[in-house]
Amino acid sequence: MRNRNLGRYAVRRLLMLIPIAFLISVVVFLLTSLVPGGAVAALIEGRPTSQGTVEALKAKYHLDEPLITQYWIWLKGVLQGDFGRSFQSSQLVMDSIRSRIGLTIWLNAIGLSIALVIGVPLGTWAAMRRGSSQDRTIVGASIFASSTPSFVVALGFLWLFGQKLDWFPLYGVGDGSFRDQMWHLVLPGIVMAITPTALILKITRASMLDQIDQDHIAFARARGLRERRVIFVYGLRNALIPVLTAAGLIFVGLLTGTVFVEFVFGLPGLGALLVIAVKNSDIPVIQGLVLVVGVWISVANLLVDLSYAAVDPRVTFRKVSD
Amino acid sequence: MTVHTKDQPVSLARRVVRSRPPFSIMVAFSFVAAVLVISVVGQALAGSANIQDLASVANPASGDHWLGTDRLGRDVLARVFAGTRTAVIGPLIIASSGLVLSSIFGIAAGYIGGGLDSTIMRTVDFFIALPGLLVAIVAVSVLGGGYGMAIIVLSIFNVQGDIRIVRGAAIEQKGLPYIEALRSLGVKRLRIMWRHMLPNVSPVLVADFAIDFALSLVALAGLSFLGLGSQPGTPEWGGMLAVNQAILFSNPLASLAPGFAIILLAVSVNLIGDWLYDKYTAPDRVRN
Amino acid sequence: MDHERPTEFEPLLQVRDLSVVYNSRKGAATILSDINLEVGKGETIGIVGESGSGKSILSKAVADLLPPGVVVSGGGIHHDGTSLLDLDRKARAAYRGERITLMYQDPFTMLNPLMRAGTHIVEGLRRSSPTRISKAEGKEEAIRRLAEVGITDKDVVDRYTFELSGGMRQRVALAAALARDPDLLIADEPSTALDVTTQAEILKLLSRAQQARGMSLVLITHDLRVAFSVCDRVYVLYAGSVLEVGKAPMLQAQPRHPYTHGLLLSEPTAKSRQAKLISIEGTVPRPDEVSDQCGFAPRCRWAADACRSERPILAEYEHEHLSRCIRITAIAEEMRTERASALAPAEPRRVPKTNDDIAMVSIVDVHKTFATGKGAAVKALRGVSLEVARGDTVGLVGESGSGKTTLGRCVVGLDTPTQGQILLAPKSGSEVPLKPTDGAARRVVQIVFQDPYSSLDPRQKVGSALMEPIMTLGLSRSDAYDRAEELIDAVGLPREYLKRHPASLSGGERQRIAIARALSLEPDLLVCDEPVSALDVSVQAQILKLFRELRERLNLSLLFITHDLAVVRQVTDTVHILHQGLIVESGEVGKVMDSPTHPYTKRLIASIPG
Repeated sequence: MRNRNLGRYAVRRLLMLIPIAFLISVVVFLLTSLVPGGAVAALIEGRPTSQGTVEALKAKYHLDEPLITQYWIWLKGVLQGDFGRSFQSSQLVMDSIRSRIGLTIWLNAIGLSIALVIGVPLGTWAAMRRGSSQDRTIVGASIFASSTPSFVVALGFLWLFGQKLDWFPLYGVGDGSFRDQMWHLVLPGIVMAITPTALILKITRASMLDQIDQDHIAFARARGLRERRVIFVYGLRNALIPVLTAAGLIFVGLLTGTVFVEFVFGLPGLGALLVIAVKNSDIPVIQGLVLVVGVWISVANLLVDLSYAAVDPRVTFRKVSD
Repeated sequence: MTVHTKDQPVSLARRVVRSRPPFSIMVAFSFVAAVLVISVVGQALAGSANIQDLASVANPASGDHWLGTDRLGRDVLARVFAGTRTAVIGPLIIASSGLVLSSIFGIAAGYIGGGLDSTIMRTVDFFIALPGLLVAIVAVSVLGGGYGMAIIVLSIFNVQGDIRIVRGAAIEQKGLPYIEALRSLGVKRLRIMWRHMLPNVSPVLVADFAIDFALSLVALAGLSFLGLGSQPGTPEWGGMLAVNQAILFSNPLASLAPGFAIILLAVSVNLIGDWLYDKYTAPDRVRN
Repeated sequence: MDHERPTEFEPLLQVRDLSVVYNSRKGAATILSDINLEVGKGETIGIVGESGSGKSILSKAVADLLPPGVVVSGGGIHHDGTSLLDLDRKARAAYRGERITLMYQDPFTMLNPLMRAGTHIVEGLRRSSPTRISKAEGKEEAIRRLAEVGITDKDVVDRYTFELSGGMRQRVALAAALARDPDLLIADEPSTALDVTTQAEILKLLSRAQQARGMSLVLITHDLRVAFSVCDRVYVLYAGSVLEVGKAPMLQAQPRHPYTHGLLLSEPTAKSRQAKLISIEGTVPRPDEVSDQCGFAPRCRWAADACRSERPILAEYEHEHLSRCIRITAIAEEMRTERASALAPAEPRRVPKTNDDIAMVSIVDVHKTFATGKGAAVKALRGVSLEVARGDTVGLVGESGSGKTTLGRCVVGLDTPTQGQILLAPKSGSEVPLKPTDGAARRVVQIVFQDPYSSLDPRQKVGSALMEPIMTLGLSRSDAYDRAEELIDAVGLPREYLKRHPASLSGGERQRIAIARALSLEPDLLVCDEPVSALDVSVQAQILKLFRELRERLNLSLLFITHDLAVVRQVTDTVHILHQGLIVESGEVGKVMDSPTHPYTKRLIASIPG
């Protein structure tokens, strides 16, 4: 019975994705239409032109038509997979995105994995030794880590591994082979992981502490259950729910980090593309990227909500309290 | 009858002054104080931040220039000092607007509920669903960039989370009997919100202020790192990091020093915020 | 109930001179000092104390579950001959669940919310079993054990804990505690969080389980009558020391310590209305504050200089009845007379008759339905009608879910009925009855809430809290202050308290402030929603006494909402029994309680311990 509820819930959420994506695209469109001087100025970008060229450009990019028509044209294109062409490079936006998205996904995956693998155990360990010097060190380190912007760490690492230690390659993606690409992502991945690790650690620790104080853990101990079972089945499983709740936040944080990390390490991913597009006021690229990001986040949130519902039986049940 | 006297709770200010904060907090306070002082008298201390000396570009630390020189031969220490202004003013404005707006809208939404609550929360939820900094990057760049624009855009994004948190705290208070007691005693709604709800959610406001400050410090630095902050040439920590990335191996301090300044200020403010929150929510209920 | 000490003389559990302290940065604070306790095989012991007595910590010390910072500073604990404190951590851990099990009080937090009911039992079985237990075997055994605690529905095994009611959860917790067949079960307030009828069932269950297994049972409670009804011997704990110990019937008939005496008397009885409500003045001290004298001396009516100069020892007064009072022989007769006069039934109160025909409150066919979202609805009130005459004190009795709180809230205007009508008599000078939601109703009816710890704004000074409603009416600050002084005098607290914050006051004092605040607008009717349930026993009587006084002095009408029949007996004239949203019985309180007619009322009265 629970699975059927879950299924229905998933479908409902997927359907909600559509209006959300739609809304995002409208907002972005409106926003970019606010560019001072109009999109024309961005297109031209100070290059010498004649009146004729300006007219031609306007016609080509439909900039002379009312806003709604422009939006409609753009939307039609999007639904067919055509995001338009970059103002700057005239490349198809879709192509740019497609060639770069793989790298960004890998980078995020590496960052998230490191964050989970380090954050959860360390957080649990710190909670078990609450008040000890180890706990305080870990908490201190995590406060530091969460206040540290990724681009500062990135630069610091660049210097450290460029000047002093020769452990990792610094820039780019290497010779193109998959293995070399992954190797080039290690250092950026670590930088990406720092802030999420701190967050996951903080939440795991706080919720483990919360659990430890709970009566059901005390009662489990009172019944003489093995300590390992008490920690894992009673403590950790319950404690991980808040972590899941924060997963949405973590996904968003990772995306933001992507932009800076790709930029500093010269990685050809979506983040770097955004920076370039922003510096050049390349509107079609910006629009396309924001739409992709919007869908990415909605899907991520959906996955989080589903796993949340799957883990916590209280969520899917509708109980009428007596 | 022996009346059993217990300790009287005191105001936050007195509690802060009375208790001795741990060493790390004292350090944090000193650092923040130092930054504030420097933002006022920095020029006098380190000299001008704008004198270019193209002959001595990217020099490492020396007697003349304690942190070396940057890409255009300017004294790094002077620029870091000058950068304290933008590092403090922007986040202060953002955090303050967050405080004021979230008190008003958060408490109103939480206490009054109903249609007002749904309207407010729908806007808030919409913004929160957006990847804040990313959209800020797009928005600021599209709207022309600049320090002021960055502050405005970040303020708009920042206040949403605050409203949600304050609303949550207000709803929690609303469920407590004392609020109902006030209602049944005929106390006016506005007075309940201003004189009762607000003081009781203030620990949350204080903690939020500190977190907002630290987060917006980092966000502003990030925006100026991408070239979306102040005019190039204005000493701003984030911008300095970007500009001096090229000379990272000649004089790493040119970019790492402002980087450390960002980290230290953010950490100090976070620590102070956490500590104040703990002090403020010290046990109010004394059960036997 | 067999109160004879079992013939097995070697006690199963022996606690000798146990002292426990709490170590903090400020130093060591005593929680327990020199506790001596014995539990025989198959015996049921009661440990009775109010908050601050240290009873919970005692149970945790025996079960080796002391919270961090709390340590044993002296003495020993012996179980079946073995000294527990001499064992290392691992060996001591082996005792938990296997030989000694501790059951906590709150059934709503004791069980793992993510686990099914059956698993709680099976995991215990697995822990003890040297061989593997298959899923099917485990489930079968779990069903059997649930039946042992009175759950016969086989589906419960697979239910999650949040799907079960409080009573069911308590039973599951008991089954889980007994899963490894310990020979000593310590139950900490096993029935406090439950309804009266469920309470009685759970206590019966505990006795049955104890007898069937030949187990020893230690019952920790604040309620003397519960202890007397179930236990063979009772220990009375106060401020970390044992003040009296003896066989239950002896203690009940002739308490040999002023504290036990005071406690017995301040727990109102449901059998008859007492002419005088005895209460113990003051509040419970910290053990360190009274370590060099008799712990109870500061509050004791009979305290002499000898009591205050040194700490008395626990001496045997008569066979197997020990007391720490050095003056007991001198004052025993006085105590007996006081007990006799206090328990003497009072005359039924003559309600002052008024001339007008308008009832203070007229409730006619009130229904209240709450929508719980997703279409479901809860019918809290299903057609309730009653009247409160002027000057009358009416009791509204029911368990949780009966709708009594909802009705009280409707009378004050905090909720509105879905159907039906509630009318209030206006202040003299007007003929038009008021609705609870009218502005003018504020000056006619007010409410006192249950929890004194959350019904006052923690950040508002007491004086300001009392002045605020008055100033809302438009009075000047100085007039309001004068009135606040009057109010605080009326509830028996010093004027100095006006400058204080609620956090520095005890529960009983806070409730007095809440009452004063409710009286600030000079209402004719006071709705009291469980006003004493959250307070310690010795304080409850103080507040009930206050209500009686205020009622006479200010000519108040009272609508007293409670689940406690004893409270109802002492304070009200008329009583209405509420069950699942309907009134099932009404009448003069003595008649309803002595000769109930409705089966539900009968069940309620039968559930009263003692």
